[in-house]
Amino acid sequence: MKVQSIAAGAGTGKTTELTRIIRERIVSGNCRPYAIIGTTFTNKAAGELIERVRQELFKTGKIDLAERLAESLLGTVDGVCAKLLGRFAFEAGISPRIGIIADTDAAALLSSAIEDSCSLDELQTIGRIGERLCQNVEMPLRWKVQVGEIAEKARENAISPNQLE
Amino acid sequence: LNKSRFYSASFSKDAFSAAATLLQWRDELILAGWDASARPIHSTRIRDLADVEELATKTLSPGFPDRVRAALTELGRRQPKLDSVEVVDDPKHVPRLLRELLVKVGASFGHRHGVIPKPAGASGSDLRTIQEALANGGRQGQVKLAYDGTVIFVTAYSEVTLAHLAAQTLQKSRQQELTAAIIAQSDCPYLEVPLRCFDEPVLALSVRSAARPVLQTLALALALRWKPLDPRDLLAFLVHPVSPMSNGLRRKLAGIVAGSPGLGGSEWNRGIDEHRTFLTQEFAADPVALRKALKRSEADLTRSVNVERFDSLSGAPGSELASTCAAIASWAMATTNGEDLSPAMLEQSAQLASRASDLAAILKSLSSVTRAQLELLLEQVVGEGTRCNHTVAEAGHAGRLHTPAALLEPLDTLLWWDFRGAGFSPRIPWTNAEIQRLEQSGVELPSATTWYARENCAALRAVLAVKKHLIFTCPRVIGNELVPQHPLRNRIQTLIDGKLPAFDLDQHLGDPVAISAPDSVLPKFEIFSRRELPGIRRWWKFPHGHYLGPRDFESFTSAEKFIFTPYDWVLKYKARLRSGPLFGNQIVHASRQRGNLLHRFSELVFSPSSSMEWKTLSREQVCQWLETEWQKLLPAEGANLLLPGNRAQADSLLDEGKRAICSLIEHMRAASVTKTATNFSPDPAPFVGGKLHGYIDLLAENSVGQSAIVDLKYNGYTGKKDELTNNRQLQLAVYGYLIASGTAWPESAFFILRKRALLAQNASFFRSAEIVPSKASCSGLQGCRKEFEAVWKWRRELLDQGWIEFNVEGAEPDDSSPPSSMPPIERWLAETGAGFNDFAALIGWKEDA
Repeated sequence: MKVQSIAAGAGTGKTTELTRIIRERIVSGNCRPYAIIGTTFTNKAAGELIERVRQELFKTGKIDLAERLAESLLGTVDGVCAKLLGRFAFEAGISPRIGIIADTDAAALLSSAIEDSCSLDELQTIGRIGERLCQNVEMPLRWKVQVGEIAEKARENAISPNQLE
Repeated sequence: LNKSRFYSASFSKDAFSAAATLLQWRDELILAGWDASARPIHSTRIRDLADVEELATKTLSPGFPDRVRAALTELGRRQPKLDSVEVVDDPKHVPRLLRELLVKVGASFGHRHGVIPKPAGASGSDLRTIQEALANGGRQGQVKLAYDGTVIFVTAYSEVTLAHLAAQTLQKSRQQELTAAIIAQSDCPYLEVPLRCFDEPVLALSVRSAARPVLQTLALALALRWKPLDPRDLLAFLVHPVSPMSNGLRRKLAGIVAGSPGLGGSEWNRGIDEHRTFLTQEFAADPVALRKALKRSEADLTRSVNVERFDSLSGAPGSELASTCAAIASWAMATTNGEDLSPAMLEQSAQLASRASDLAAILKSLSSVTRAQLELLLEQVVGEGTRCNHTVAEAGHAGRLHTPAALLEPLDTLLWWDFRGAGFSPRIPWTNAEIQRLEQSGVELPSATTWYARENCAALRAVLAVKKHLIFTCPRVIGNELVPQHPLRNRIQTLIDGKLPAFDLDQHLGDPVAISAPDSVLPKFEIFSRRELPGIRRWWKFPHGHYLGPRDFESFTSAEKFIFTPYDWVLKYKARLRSGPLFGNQIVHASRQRGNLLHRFSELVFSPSSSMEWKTLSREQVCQWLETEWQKLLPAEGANLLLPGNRAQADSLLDEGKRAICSLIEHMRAASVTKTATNFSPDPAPFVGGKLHGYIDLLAENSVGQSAIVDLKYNGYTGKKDELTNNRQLQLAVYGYLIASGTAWPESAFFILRKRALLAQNASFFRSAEIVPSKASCSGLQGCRKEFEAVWKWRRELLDQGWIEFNVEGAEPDDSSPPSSMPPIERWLAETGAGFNDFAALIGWKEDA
């Protein structure tokens, strides 16, 4: 598998180069438009990328390929993962009903999960330690947010629950 | 349902969603000609689906493809007498089962199918140039445009702006006797108002929504069947504009739930009693009506609120949930007999009755349903919801097409609404190998290529049929995201040698001279000159103080505003400005709720009727007693703290409460307090501004008959110390004045619950208090009250002259200030608040408001 890295400053033409690469591969038949996965930081960036490639394909008369570009998995990380999981829900053994949890709901679920995994004594002890360390002054349960941050970092770095323990 | 099926794992996690997906796949397969059989060549997934189908045909109601199949069978027995049926679409684009149906009714394919119509635009126009380039696939290279306005892509920030343009375009077409149509693949409710403004016939394009208030009633009623009860659900049910409960009772209870989130507490019961008293007075002359009203109140509570609740994860019996649905259906059906309902409300009530009955029927057949499953079922039953049918399409309205494929005849003007890149993305769950094997059995699943070809044909058919003006409209952003471009726009762009004929309506409206508009979309907008909001100013003057006169009663809260934030007093009590229902119907803020619950602890302990012997119990016994009371208090006034994930919060508050109450008890014992009263309301007493009244948190009397008032605060240690230092403890002074007997005034203190600090100016009553002596020229409550009255008089005189001080952030005194803008006592100078201020935000003085 060939891995190619393009690193450059803002406005130097990374998207232009990426557009060229995708267009060339599609036109040459090395890559099907619906077999592209790409993540960007914003939907705007993904939209621009798709539109640039599509216009290039239209210009070269590849109308069918240009239209099938809509099937590519280009978008934000959240959006692409949601599409993938939705498409392969049965293979993944999950509910086919996929949605992205709102931030407020995520905080409530995290809080609930923490409480499910702690005894009342443990919760009280952590709360008192938090208070002694002056965490309770403005935000009584700040420690829960910090637990969430640790869990997130562990996930980002592929650290398993056992390793974390 | 064995574990080897391809859907087994998903089904075990979310049976309803998995079943809905399988049903959708099955419908598509049947429509494509699948006979529900499985052969060895077929994939495991198809074989599994065939097994499901065998079961499903015995249990499920027929869906769309089943009805088509039934029609086909019937058509085998009899021949319909239709003169002619012509199919315009390419037969390859029609699902197999529908194609067979069309053949059975004698349809002819071939007159126009698969043929792109000839370009209809006037020769030499941009429209014709683009039509020809599209028709020949750009084989003649890029074309040059004259930018004559016959094709235009219009954008704006707001769909409302675009709707005005659309309405104007339709009006112009009608006036010029041109044929016109609008393609609106989604609902476009924005168009109705501008059409009315232009006195054009409306199209009745009301958006379909599941969030119509009438339909929401069902979800709100069902939400109350789960435990622990979420007080936000209860509040939402009580404040909802449409409800099976009587208005008076639910509004009263809503106010109580917002302040004390829960059910069944003392406040809740007081609310119910007050409502009964109200009814008794209201129907005093009519005992029959009174009995009926009281019975209705009881029934309201029994049917909707005091219902059995079930754990949301382990589920509720389907029959229980079905009973709620049936009750809602019955109520909705009864409302349709009401004479006052508008036709739209009547229709929505009928819809609600029908859908609630449907859901009841489904739920009855299920032994147990979790909350997540119920929500999914609700979603399925309510579907896309209802339209707000308050309008009907008016005679002579422009044609509305849901799809470009429906445009069969040439027309003069076509307006393509919301022309953006959504929908061009087929979701085909089958692999190429599966599709090939299905084809071998005669199943014609449309491939992505077919799907795109069909969409392409549809778009071209519409574009090529236009004779004079083709206008595409699309907003720039939706939900802060740039709108994705329609592929046809990309395609047209690549056919043109030059810029796309695009037009930004907002730019034109901002500067109509510099940014000219093509005639075809020249908007007729009236530009109003801008009127600035008044700038920030400290002092405002009415011609006189007629509207700012004194009130009969003042409390500490209102008196404090009068002295320190007079604009707040004027706007709240004289202008009676209140926050609206969207803001007001919220559960009390967390920090206030913490304070309220700890106040309640103090009431339970120090009330004369309390069962707790606080004078003698050990600290451990006090804590134990408080823990028992806490378990009763939470469901009644802190139900939100019983919700999953809030256990730590509830526990930390209980801990805080135990420590605060134990500390307060110690102070009381040290002061030899023998009698206490809580939430004590003395008789109102006259003062310079009318009469004062109020509620004292805690009134204590010691063994020698001395009394003291204690005001409990959850937070605010520094602020209260500052008040005592400056002898500006107005709250204590007001309460002291109310219970003072001649020259004998009570002692006083603040107790800061969070800090467990009792703050007093001296130790004459509370020996163990933290002493904060006055550094002002006077000391004690009498001195404070004297200064308060002097400042009150000064404020009153200013208000009588019409002067109102807006001491908000950034408002400094200037030349427009009144001569006597300083209070008679400098220490009582109103400080400029730096925090958020509703009113400053409301009038635009607050940055980013």
